[in-house]
Amino acid sequence: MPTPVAQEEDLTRYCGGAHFDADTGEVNGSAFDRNPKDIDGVSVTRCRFFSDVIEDDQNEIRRVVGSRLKFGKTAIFVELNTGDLLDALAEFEQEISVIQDPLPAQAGALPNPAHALIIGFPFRGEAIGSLKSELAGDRLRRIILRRFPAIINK
Amino acid sequence: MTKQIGSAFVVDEDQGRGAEKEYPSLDSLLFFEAKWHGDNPTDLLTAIHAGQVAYLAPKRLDVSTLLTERQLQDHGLHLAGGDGAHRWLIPVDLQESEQPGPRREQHWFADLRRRVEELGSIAQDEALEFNEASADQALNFAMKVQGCSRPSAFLIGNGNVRLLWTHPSGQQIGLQFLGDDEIQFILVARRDEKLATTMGADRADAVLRYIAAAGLSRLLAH
Repeated sequence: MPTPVAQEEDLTRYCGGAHFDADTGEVNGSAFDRNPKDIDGVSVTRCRFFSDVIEDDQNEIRRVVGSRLKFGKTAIFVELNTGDLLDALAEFEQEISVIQDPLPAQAGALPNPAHALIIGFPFRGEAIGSLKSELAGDRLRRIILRRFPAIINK
Repeated sequence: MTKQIGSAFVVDEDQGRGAEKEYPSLDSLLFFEAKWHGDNPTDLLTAIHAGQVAYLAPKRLDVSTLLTERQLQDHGLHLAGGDGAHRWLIPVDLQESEQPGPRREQHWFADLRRRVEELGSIAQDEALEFNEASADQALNFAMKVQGCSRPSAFLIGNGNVRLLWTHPSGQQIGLQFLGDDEIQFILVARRDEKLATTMGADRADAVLRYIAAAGLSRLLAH
């Protein structure tokens, strides 16, 4: 039985340059579409798992997530609350859950004990970019709490 | 008086109000007039755009504007009846935009084009789909809608480009360009302190009418 992520917890999702317009600062809901690396569900990382100190937590998220994918130069991480996410998608009347899914170290990738999955979204049988998928993405876009750059420019 | 393209200058002589006002768009002008005459502005706009009624300036609304008839047509509007059309006075500096050839680019258009090119590069780097027809359609749309502000641009997983205009109030215009003049739209407009969503897919000219009917034309130029 998978362990659900508490509704009070915040989650962070990598958002590449395709879904973040750095000139306007706007994020698109397509950041929450499943990509080829999201095999079992939409991949997210639990915030404040590694540290209560935000900066330390974000640095560890960069390190751990960055060991599995190459960050784009304008990419960011977006944060949203688990309970907000479930509320925002409730109107679609689909079964959606957020479960803990710690990843072990493998093939050069660091372990990610904070990894979690959004199960049931994007909606089964809905094509990427369909009206329903896009509307759901817009609902999620509006509940983004915070964001931070994937790459720190020194 | 110098005015930007897309603004209008209105004097209603019959009403004796003589107010001179500038409007950011033709839709806002029509909205103003509908309110003036006591109709429901949204219903009237919808009816005008649907071709159910003709815009006749029924109480002799004298209008001088920098909008040409071609630009009116771009909004899906046609002036009809009497000498209504002749009341649209075209100041000299508009003649430039009436010259044959490409439309005058908005000042931010190069930025948007660069962003769309960047999306193409991202697609190449990350082995994502990129629909060139969608990208061209998005750029053409943004160029066509004179007076609009720079939208955000994104590449979604099916390879299509999406343009997005947002407002801190939660209102939005989201347009996914499907190719073949088809646009998937999600409009979020504030009505009676609530946010109402209108969505669907249609041709570009029809989508502009939906935007106007939702009262979101101003968001394009926000």
